[in-house]
Amino acid sequence: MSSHDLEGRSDSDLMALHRSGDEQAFGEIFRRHKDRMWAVALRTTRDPDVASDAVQDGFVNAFRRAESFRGDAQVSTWLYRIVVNACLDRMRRSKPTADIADHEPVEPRDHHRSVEIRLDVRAALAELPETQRLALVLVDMHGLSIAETAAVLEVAEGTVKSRCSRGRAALAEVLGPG
Amino acid sequence: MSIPPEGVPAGDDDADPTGMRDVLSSLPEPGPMPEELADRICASLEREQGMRDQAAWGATAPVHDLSRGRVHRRPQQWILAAAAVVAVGIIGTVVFDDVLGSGSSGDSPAAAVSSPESEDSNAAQEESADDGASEGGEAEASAAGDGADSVAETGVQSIDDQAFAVGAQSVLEVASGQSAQDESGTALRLFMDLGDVKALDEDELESCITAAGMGPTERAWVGAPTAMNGEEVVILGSMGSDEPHEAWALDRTCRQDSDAGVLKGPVSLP
Repeated sequence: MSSHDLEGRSDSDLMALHRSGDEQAFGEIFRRHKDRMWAVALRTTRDPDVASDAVQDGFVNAFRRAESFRGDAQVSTWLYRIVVNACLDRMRRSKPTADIADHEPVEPRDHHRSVEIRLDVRAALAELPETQRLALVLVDMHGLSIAETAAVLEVAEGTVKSRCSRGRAALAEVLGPG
Repeated sequence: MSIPPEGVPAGDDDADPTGMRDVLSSLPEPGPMPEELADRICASLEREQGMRDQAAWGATAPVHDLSRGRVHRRPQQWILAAAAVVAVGIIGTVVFDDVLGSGSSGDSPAAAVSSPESEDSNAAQEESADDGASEGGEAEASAAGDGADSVAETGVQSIDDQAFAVGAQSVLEVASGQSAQDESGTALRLFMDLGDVKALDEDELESCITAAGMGPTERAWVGAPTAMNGEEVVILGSMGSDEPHEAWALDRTCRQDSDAGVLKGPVSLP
């Protein structure tokens, strides 16, 4: 099947095609989700090198484990879970070597003050416990629902809500006036 | 500040009296995946696809070349056993060479097995290996334990046909780019260094095909120098989809001398 034919297919269709042996289907999945997975890997690991390895691990694992995708969640949710797990694995094996701020896109019109705030937010985010940080990355920064995040992190929805609430409160305390 | 305990729902999904949700969602995206990384992942996925295709071929490969009386079996059923046989030979050769000082060239698998560089490489491979690595490790351990009994047997001719086929196929796959050095058979890669395998050029290949007694055909030929069981050889094989999958071991001089001897083969590949 040509890549042009694949463009109109849903993610679930592509997964089914991949499982049935189509050589192009997973490439289309990669093309569609690579930027989001890169973003979540970068935000999770806070290290471009670790994120690169983790997102590569994630896509290769997803390719190999296509049979484990049962279709009861979105492909993106399934990919998030695999990539986040790959990030956690990588983080446990390596130490950060670079700051995420190194990878911030250049914004010529950005104001000094807003850059400062962003760096403060990122620094504060980095101080949070991993579980709270992951919940905030997925819910607040990537826009996943509580249910999707619970599926990615393999915890109860209530736990995600709690982690978000506690994480936001801790951030507010660090970033608040005074 | 009041923080709800872990596991207690915080209430409405959208409720965020701190305003931090808006702050976090307003942070800029990190940007698209770097092109270099995307290319790297694409290459990995292509390799995965290649291995999947190969596995699919292995699962559906027809039995052929019955006139030669060789039995084709699925690699999964005997690859470890066959690899262990090769390991016995190779490790035995290392012992043999060490004891008698006969030596082997630096690019031979035997030399590679005993080199620190190879150990580093193997360690790295084992780190990223899947569950199959432990099975390979068992084969390796078994082979290492039995190796001393095999010191009397050296040379490619002493290798069992099935073990030869496994080794030859790995060499040919690496030489033809069908698999990377670190993606060859799990058990085999633990004791056979394929890092130096490089395909013959056209002239060398033609000479070796002639040496194997084969004329110009439509077959997709691949050849590469390597060492098996301490003997430096050229592995020549045909691996196209519509032709017999066979391999030969030839004297290395076949690259220049089309009258060089056939040391083993043809042997059907798995």
